[in-house]
Amino acid sequence: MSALLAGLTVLIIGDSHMSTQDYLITTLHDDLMSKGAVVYSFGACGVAAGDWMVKSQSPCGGAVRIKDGPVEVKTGQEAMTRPFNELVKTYKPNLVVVVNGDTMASYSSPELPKTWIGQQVTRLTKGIKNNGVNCVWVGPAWGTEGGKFNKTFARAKEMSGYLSEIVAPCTYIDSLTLSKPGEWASSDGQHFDLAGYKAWGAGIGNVISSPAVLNNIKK
Amino acid sequence: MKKILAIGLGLISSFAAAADNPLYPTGPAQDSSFVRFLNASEDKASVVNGTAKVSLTAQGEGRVSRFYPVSAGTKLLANVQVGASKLAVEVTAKPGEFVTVAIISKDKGIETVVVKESPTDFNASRASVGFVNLDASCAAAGLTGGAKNAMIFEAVKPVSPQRRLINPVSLAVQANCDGKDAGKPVDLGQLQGGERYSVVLVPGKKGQQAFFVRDSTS
Repeated sequence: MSALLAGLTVLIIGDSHMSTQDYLITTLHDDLMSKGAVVYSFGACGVAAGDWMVKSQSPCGGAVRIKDGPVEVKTGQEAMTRPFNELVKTYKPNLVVVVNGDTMASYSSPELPKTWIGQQVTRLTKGIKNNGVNCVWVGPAWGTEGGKFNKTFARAKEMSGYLSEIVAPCTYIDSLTLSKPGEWASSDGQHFDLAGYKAWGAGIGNVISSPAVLNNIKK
Repeated sequence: MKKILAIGLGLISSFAAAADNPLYPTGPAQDSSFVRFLNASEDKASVVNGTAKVSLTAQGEGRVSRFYPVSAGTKLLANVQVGASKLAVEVTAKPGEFVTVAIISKDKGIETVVVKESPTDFNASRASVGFVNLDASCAAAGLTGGAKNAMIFEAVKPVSPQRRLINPVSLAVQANCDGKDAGKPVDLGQLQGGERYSVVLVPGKKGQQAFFVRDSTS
């Protein structure tokens, strides 16, 4: 336990990586809590960034975790995004962490849908800007090539590069720098085992607690 | 043997959660595309597509429609009318394209000019300002503006728009053509971060004019 993030209230919203026990909703949430932050996490599997501005149904489940409570898995109609403005009003975060990349990268399509991604991202970043809250955006990790989502290293790199250019005013966290391609084991190309999620969560936590990010956050 | 079995069980256990992930789409099969209509003639215009009709004013914000989402690769047909002049328009958008069908005056009638952009400059902190030169007689258009009357765009060829990100300031601009002022200054007002704008230079019976429109999809 450290006090590096003491006084910080963090809201994490994200896709499938935030929707299952032992994924980032466990490891990243734990990492930020261990540094002294108060953390609220919301996951909705398979949703695009813009879906967080309204109440949207997840096609594949979700999860919620409030402070030091357990991961509450949501299924069926209970797996929804919650409107971003409502989340900010309720939890009053100093920092928002967005985990969203894989669900917009169109791994099965030959071209990255840049216009659609740009609109999805801007819908959420405009909401973040209008609420005057600091944010970081966590891009996709390497994963492994193939699997049922048809993920490739080339597309992960292309998606990460594009996100880094369009997520302002959020600070971009380039997950590709946190591991080597294929280093974290994955059963389906996209999702990791617990060791992978622990490494990813710790890597994100280190960037958030670095002076470059922390010094810009209004507490 | 026991060791191999243990390793095997360990691997199964570590992937137990991940293996349960259902397959879901990671984005659309095809990028979004949009088409809008811009009335750059000097009279009000109407655009008819089947039973749908869009009326465009000759001045102000009503001279441009919003960008309508369309299916990329699908041929779109519409009839444009300004006064007694009628014209059929056919346009096809590629994936990711924002297509503007501009209606401009020509001799005693009208013509349409199709302008295409594939933007990747999305940014909620800054405003995106584009410059469209619809005057075929103007080989190199430019745009200056801001407190120091700085060059924002230069050497913009007809129907080849340029676009850049600008801090969300209050902005007035002056278009020019081949180094000479073209039309009156245009006041865009206070730009908003995350919003998109286009300044348009058009020919006219009384000389060139410039105006701005918002690039809206909703």
